[in-house]
Amino acid sequence: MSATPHDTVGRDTTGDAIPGGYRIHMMLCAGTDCAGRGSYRVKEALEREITRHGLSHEVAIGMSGCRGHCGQGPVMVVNPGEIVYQGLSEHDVPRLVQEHVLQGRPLQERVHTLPPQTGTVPLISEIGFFGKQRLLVLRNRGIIDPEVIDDYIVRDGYRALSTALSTMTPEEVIQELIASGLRGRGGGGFPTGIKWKTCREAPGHPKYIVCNADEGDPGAYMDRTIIECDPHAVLEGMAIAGYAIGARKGYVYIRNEYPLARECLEKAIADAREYGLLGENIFDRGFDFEVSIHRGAGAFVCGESSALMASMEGRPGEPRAKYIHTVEHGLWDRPTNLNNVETYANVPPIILRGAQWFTSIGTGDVSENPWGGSKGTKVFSLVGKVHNTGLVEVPMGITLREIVFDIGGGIPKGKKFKAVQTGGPSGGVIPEELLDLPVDFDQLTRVGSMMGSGGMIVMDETDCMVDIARYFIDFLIGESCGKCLPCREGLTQISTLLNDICNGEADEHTITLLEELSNTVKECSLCALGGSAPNPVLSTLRYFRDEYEAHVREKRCPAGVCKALITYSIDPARCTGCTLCARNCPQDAISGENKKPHSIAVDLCIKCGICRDVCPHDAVIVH
Amino acid sequence: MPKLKIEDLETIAARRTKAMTVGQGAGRVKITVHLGTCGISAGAQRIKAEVMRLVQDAGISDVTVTSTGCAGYCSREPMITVQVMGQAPVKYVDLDEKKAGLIFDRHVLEGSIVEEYALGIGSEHTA
Amino acid sequence: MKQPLANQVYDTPLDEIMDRWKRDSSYLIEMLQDVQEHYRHIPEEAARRLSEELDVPLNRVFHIATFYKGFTLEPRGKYPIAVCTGTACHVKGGSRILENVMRELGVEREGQATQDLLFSVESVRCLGCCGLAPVVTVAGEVHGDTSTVKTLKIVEELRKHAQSS
Repeated sequence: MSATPHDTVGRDTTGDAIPGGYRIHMMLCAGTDCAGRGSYRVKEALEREITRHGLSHEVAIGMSGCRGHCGQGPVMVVNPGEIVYQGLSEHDVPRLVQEHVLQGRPLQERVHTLPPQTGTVPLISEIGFFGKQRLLVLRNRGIIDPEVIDDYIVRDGYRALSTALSTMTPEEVIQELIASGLRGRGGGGFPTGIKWKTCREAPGHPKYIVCNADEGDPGAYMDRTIIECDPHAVLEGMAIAGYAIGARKGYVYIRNEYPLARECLEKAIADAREYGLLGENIFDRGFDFEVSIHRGAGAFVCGESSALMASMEGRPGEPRAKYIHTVEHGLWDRPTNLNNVETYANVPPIILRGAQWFTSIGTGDVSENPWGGSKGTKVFSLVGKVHNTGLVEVPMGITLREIVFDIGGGIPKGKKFKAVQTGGPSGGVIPEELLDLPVDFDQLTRVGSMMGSGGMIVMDETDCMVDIARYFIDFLIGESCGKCLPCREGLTQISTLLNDICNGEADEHTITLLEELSNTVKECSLCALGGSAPNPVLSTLRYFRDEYEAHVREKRCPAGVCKALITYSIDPARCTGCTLCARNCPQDAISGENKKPHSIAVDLCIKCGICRDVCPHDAVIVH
Repeated sequence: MPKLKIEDLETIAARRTKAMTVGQGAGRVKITVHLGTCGISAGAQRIKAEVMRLVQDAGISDVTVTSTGCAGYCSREPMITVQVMGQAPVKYVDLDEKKAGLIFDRHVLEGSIVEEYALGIGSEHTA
Repeated sequence: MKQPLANQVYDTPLDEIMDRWKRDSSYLIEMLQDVQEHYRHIPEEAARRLSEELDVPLNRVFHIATFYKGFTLEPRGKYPIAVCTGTACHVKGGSRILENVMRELGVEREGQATQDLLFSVESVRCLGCCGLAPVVTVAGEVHGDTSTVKTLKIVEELRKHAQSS
């Protein structure tokens, strides 16, 4: 990843070295108040002035989050020297460039003297959890009220749409998307611009725009949060897609389990309609676009495009063979463009700020080949055995180690990191030795996992990899639509084999059989659900074969998870005899006197784990 | 309401900005409660109700209470952001009603940051 | 043209539901969602009437009602308990909570209600609150960072509340 003014914005403000070969680095505050007082207008004026002087290669101009230098906004930090300006307006710009850039002395009357540092509260932008995040899709999180359309308009809302409608042809919009290298955030990573182009050129009318908000991967909630934070960004992205492709009707297919997101979106659609930002003749440009909502009814397979469309037509969500493309034969057999929530939310900033800006973030080179890299940011749900859980947005190319340890803060309770699972049930686990892997579409696929929609579940030494594989297979058995045999029957057989291993009833041969069967299901299934279903098995086998072997050879579950292979006991050295476990044991299997070490009767114990949950002293141990 | 023209976006943005900027329409202090599904599960609605009650009971009119979606930091919900005129916004985490009350007394009314509950000042990096 | 076959009890809400979706069979899933919400399951009579009035084969109505996880053919309890078994919840013990709560409430199959019809227990794939794992919803209210013991406490309180009112 090469250093550019954009990926260094707000990162390196103290040192004298300005990355990217620039002499001066100017950062305007994009915090709510500074933006409200016109920091974006100042930035544009600065850019014009710098270009006029022919200094674009010497001076980098960017925006940063609020860095706490709050005087009277807009505030700008200039490096080297960390000089803070306040109260800037467009009118100050010519003198500022003259003095600071050309003469090399700060424009005194606008220099802000910082108030004495109060207390020990750190800057948000320097806190581990937030420090390495770069908000693009989530640029409005925590700032706008998602139910107030005016708040979105304050943050440049619907300006990308007005720009597209008034200054760009549909072909130009598509060209910009292709040049940006944006790839679908739902999992596959297909270049968005290419998909739009194919759909625009596909014969047949009317055409449809569909937004997939049926976020089915367990452990992932990016789409829900994007809608709950910034619903209009999704609608604006869809409307731009409608203009580019030549569609007048859009649908959002949203999970039924997300009531708040749905309400949020319903309100946003109604407000946009009232403003004429959806409906007929938007901005008097002769473009009509409507959006309505379809509720999902709970079927993971509906994340698959043809299944999703079947479901929208009121049928069971069963996929069809992949050679029929939904861009040509989609909803009601019409050309249909399907992208997910995060993909659409990326569109307005790309149109407003240009493909060149977008390609400055991320990995690879997409100038010749849209598959040549992963550009922009990705939102992940960082969850599981990690200190800081939450939704994180990072530039593509960041390493897993940075995400898990710098942003996530590492593993709680002094436990040891074991793996991180990405890509949902179609993905895989990534072990410790690959933690320095840069995260992008192609790298994750290379190591046997995938980007998926962005779930990132961290696991520690107490998570059994065989159990994890079994968990995903069982999930997929429940979700398999049953149309093709390899998926329907194959997964059930895989589950049986995994159960045998977990129950200590397997031998070496079981592992071989498991591997063979997994490959068969992968090869022969009809759709991507079945085709990727064995991934959790294959990737755990690839990196944690020793754990499988411990189960079959020594009849031992190293992580202490598989019930048939473990026993619970109480460590007398730690037990204080508080009686909490005995009182909560559903089997009355725990006995002992008050204030004396307790013990568990192994023959009564059903290994439900409640004693371990309630013990305040970690005295319950598993062998 | 009549349909928007392109130039109306500017007017709306200017009007709303004025209304919500601290020191202008939003008054002396703005309190933002972060209400996404996670925040609500962790009790953010109760925090918002408590903050509104405190503002009302104090009989002050220079404080604006607003809400946003999720702030992203699920393990530290519920969260609020307090911004006092002329100062950087401060994010508070792991709140309950009692802590909210203290923040109201010390930060909102008296203008001094409650360091023990504050996560940090300023805002996040944008790309 | 209404067939007298259907049980009268189901007429009014069902008519409202069908009218809401303009009796357009492409909204069959939405109608079934409303039916599920109203009756806490899809009663056989309701399925039959939808089939007749919308001119959709009964087998398709049941295909949909059994295909999607959001529908049940037997009534849920007054306070449905849904234990999240998404990946984050699974690694933090969600599947164990499900097992324990089912055993303690005497519920043998997922989706089944307790004898007094107060509670039903089922697993739910990810609720999207993974940051708060493990998560359980009781009567629609989300409880994060929970455990078997905490869930059973909520159950006890609701049971007392139901008995006193």
